[in-house]
Amino acid sequence: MSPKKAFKRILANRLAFAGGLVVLAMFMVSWLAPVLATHDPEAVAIKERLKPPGYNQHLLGTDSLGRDVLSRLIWGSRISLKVGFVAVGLATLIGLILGAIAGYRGGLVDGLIMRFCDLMLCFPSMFLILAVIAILDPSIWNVMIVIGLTSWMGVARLVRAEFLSLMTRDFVLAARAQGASAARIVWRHLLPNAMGPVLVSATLGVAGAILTESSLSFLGLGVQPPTPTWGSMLTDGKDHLTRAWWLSLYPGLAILATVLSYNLLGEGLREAFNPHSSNRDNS
Amino acid sequence: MLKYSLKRIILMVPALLGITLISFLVMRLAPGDPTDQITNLNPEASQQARIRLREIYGLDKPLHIQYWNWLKNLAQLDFGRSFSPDRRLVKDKIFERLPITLALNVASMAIILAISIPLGLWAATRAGGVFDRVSTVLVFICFAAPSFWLALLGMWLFGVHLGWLPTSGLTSLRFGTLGFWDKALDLGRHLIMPTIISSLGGLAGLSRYLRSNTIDIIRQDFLTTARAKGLSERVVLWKHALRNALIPVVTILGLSVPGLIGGSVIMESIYAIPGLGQLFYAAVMSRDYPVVMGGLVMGAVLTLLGNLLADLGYALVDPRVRDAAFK
Repeated sequence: MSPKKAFKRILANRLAFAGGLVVLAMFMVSWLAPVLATHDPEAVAIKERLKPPGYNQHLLGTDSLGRDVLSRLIWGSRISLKVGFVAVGLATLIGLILGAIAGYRGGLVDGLIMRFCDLMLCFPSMFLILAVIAILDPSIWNVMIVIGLTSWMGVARLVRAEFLSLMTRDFVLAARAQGASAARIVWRHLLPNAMGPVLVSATLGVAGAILTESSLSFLGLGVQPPTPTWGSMLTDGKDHLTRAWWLSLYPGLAILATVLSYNLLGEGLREAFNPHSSNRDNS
Repeated sequence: MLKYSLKRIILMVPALLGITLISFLVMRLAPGDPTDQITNLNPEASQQARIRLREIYGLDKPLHIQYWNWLKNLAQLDFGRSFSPDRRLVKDKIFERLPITLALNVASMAIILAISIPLGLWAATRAGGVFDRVSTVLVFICFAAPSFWLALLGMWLFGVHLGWLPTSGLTSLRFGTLGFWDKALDLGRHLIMPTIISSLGGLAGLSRYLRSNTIDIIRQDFLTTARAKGLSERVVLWKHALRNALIPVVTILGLSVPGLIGGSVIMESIYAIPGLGQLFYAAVMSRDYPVVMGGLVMGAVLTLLGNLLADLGYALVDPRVRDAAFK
């Protein structure tokens, strides 16, 4: 390995490492929110509205109702993490089950599941999500469920493809020859070997779910006020764009940093799981 | 080619049926009736009125018959009437706004292509260099930044702070008084920011893909052969490598259609552009079910058409598929 290549790989790992650190830090921040937040995130102080960063112990300023921006950012991280993990958990579960059935059973069942998958991919996901939110009412649970129900297709395809290639391998044939039951083959031999790519896709999925939730909250169709979320904080920023730039800047930076970290971590994991990673690009 | 195209178009029929079925089921999952929207707001709506309204909308029939009737209307592009006070035909509402959304998305695609191809190739030929690393960082940021946030920052910087561009709408108030060229300029000034910002995500994705694809191609034997027979590095890269790297671009562009159309909901509502996305958003906010349903079906149909165009385009540019298709 040439020094140049080695440097590139270190850089690649470093980026993934940095991403992982930020992800961990985000967990700590949301866990320690009651301690870290200097103010009550929902405490309204009309007299102190739209104050710039640094004003009277408000490190990042105040919003249109005089609430502390930093404290709202800190508490808002809880929503993002919760939505990210629950939505992706649901999507991964559905994708695993459908993908495993399709890959293992094959034939008509496989055809039906995969055609359903194709159909779901035809809908611009924002349209589908908004349509369902229009029927149900916007709330954090509905947002998580709807994002989960509209983002399982990638995992299903992935698991199916993994199953199809694993099932031709000798160790699966050997297990089958020994008379192992279908459940045993799926649980002990196929699923564990398919988990690598699933983990990668879940990590990237968290980033996507956080982005979707923030868009929904920004549109007023996500988590409802007064609960602080990064997306709805940006709505406030939009309404006061001419007078208070800090309302538009900081929540977006928080989303950017979080999503970027999950993406970097996911790409790093992909590299790590990819046996051919040394001849692929790896920055 | 004609036979291949016909086959692909016929294959769309089951997909269309599936799309309508899913859209129908999604809207019927709703607790209560779509007509509640009309009757609940009206204190004078009697029980009889409710029943009559249910009959008018066919809600008293079994689900499969409702679906069949809805489908029959849909085949004639009849999406019903909007629940909003103007009670206009959903079809008219959608089709008067469709051109704006299509124009925006086509312009975004043009920007994506014009920038990501040179960017991806250039980064690939200089993999590991400064340009490559800077562009990689930018690509990751474009991926991770929420488009509505970039739109806000853009509005603040170019609209409020610098005052170069208008922050919202499609045309200025004095649009009617302008000459042709000034009209075009005015439209352009309004559309440039939304178009560029909505293309950033796809731009990042495509240039990233082109970069890794080109890196793979550069290592292949036929390029070594091309070099060995004495072709200049320029010809090798920009002719032999580029052509092969570009083939999958058609497919990727097709795949990016749902994202662009979905993204137009956000872009159009931020910039107050009267397109399909904004119509859909307004319909969702006011629970205007016929419009929501129409928009949902239209969004999926546009995606399907995008995929179809991508498939046909792929058949045109890839000789392996083209030869099979022409047989």
